[in-house]
Amino acid sequence: MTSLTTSRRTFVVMASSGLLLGLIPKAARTREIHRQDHPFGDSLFRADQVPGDELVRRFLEIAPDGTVTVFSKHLDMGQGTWSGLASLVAEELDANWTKVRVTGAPVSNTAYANHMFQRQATGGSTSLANSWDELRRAGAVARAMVLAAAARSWGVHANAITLKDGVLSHGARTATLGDFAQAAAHEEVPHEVALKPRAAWRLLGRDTPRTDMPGKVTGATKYGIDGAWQDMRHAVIARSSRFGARLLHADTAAAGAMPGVEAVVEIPSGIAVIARTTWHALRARDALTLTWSDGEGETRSDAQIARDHRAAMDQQPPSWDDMRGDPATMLARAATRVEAEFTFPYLAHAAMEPLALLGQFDGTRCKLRGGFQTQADNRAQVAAILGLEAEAVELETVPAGGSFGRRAGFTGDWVVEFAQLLKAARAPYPIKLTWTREDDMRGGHYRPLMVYAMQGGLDAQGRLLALDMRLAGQSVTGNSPYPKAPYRDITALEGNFHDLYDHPHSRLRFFHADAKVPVVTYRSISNNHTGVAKEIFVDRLARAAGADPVAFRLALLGAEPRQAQVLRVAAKAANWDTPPPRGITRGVAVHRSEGSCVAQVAELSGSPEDFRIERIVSAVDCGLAVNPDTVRAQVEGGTGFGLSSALYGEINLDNGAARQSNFDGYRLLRMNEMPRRIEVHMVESGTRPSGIGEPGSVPGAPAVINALERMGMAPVSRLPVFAST
Amino acid sequence: MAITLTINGTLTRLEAEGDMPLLWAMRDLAGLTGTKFGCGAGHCGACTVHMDGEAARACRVSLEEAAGRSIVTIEGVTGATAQKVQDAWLRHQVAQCGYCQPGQIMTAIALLEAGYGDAETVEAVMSGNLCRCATYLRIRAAVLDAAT
Repeated sequence: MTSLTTSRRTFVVMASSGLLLGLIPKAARTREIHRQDHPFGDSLFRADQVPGDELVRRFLEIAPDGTVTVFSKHLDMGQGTWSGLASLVAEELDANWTKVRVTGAPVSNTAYANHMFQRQATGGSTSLANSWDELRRAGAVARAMVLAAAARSWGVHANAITLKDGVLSHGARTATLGDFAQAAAHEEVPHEVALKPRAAWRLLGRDTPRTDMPGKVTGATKYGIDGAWQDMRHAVIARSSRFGARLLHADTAAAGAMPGVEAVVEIPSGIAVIARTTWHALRARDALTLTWSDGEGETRSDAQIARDHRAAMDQQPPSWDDMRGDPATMLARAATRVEAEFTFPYLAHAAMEPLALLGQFDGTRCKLRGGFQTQADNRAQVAAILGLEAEAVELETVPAGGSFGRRAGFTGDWVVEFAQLLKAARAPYPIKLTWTREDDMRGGHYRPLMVYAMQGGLDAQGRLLALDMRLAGQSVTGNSPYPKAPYRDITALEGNFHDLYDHPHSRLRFFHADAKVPVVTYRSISNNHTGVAKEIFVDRLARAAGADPVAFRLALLGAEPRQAQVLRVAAKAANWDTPPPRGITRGVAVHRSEGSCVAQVAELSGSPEDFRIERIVSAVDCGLAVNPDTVRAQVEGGTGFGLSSALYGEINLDNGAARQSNFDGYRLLRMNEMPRRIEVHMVESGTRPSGIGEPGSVPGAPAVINALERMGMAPVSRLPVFAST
Repeated sequence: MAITLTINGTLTRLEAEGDMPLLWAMRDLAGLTGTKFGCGAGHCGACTVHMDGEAARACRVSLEEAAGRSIVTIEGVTGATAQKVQDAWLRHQVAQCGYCQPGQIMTAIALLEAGYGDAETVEAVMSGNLCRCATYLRIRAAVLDAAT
């Protein structure tokens, strides 16, 4: 059993040695959250003692024409972080927003580490919180130095010059930021800079248009898959369809003789075909005759894996066991007992941009271009394969057409494989590797299949007396090179009922049950199952107690004032206390993840077999909303993403191979299945931002499922609700 | 073999096999990467272009079929409707990752140019284009906005 002291001590040790996911053990988190403005703690996000001029060098550049370029250490995969980060700089610099550009920063764990993970990586919805201080300070230092240069040139006091929208003026004299950018570099670096008070903000806290929107509307944005270098060739790879199978024999003669084909090379994961165009490579790949080993690797179906995970709960010791009070005795004494089992399937991320990479290796140096999410680790992985020093590997990070966790895998599988291709090909030309949709969907690295068994007991007054919950499955950090305990378990557990609801007698056990199916992070990490299971189960308890589901939750949220507040705000905005219009059934859910709280009330019409989500009313507390419109967008889209998983998403396995291979089998939510309206109400609780890229994807699905069950649908025991089998 | 077609108003000769999908000809031969590869099977709509003014999925059209026709991609789309649609996309701040948006926009322009702009038809037609970020509400709002 993991005691509170152990997990706290372990966290301190690991934080100092550099952890990857940086998730704080629940014990530390649940206690500290009430004391601090920000749940991750202030120290992790402070821009430490980096000198001001160094901060400026790292994060921005002002061109003579006044264009301000901000270097983002984080990947923009749709969440809007590039624009958000740039607004922090632009606000303090008083730059003209229309002249602000953003580009991916180079690789450096020194200059560009995520303060949370101690290395350059994007995840955990931490970007804005991470850079809140450092980027505003960078902007303010640059502003002070530009003003000093202008003051020197004009022979006036710096504080007599006004700077607004990138234009400096004093009397009749005007200049732009660009006019003094070079001279500013010779000015003294201020030790202390005052950051603007909120009342003076022109960009922050407002619906500032995203810097990347024009490029995405005209098609000008170049993603990883769009990279093009002189003399580039195109590659695709034939991989095993079954996880863990080995290539026994390859007949590549026919493929090699196809028109347009440049080379056919063997790499550890299979056979790569390099050709004049992607289509020539694809056509030649079809002509390969490959024999894969049988009986090695994963051979089970997903249903068998689910049964094995369930059996693990009774047959193996838990890897995580946390208990308070005496749940066994109290469950036996309960006036009413409620039981539930849930199976959450494997899920493919299915980002609209399939994985793709462009690169060239000349034997001594390697350059790569793509949507990297863990740049420093990726560089080290590539260097190791190519036998180079890390500095000989250059990464250009470009915006990603989605990731949802796929690009953040600890092993960097997709980058590693590309390095192996470059090594094997030894080509005198750059190569772009494109994954087809089928490669991407059948390639594993899924959200793990998780099985839950939950029991709750109510007293005679309908109060929650005791809970026993068990879950079993793979952890997304199970295959990571980082220390297994406690991170392996926390990345499978965070956001669970036992930790987030306040009830006296409770036990949580996690059984690490392995499978040879590679799994990785998936939007909101464990919350995409822990939060969904929690909110469906608490609703069933409320029904068994004959209690109002909002009031029932509020009674359990005494230790979670921010969750309680968003729940109250969403309920009020949805007129919860007034019966719904005729033909409408409501469902509710609330959750905290990545430091932010979201509550949603769903209103459904129709029947469980044929329904429409008429409206979802949301209340969001993400500390401080740097760009409220982006927060709304993330909650709207996140809701659709969560619903897509809960209603339709599943990867089934037959003999260890994925059954779904494209969007005909792997169903995604479409426009006509989207809620007709999503309202988002802001609840501001702090003076700095917490995350929003992930938290909006959690409560919508259980709110809808709760409404469906209240409409009369049989209780869900297996996700998705509309399983294909 | 050589295939001649009009791409964004310019008569273009491509050296390629006739069964090559228009998608790969646009991306790998013409260098027009605004036309996105999403599924290669006609399920997602990310590669939507205009062929003689009508929406077409470039992954399902062979170069042979496109020969002699006029192809317009997101890079070359012009006119009052295109302007209205792209302006609406900016006004509604539609895109998140943005990858599917060229296909969404090309579908929307063709729909409006064909004279449809009612909510029911917009939802029915636009449901053919997938968006994994689920920006659907903003897409719908932008199309309806551009339709007025």
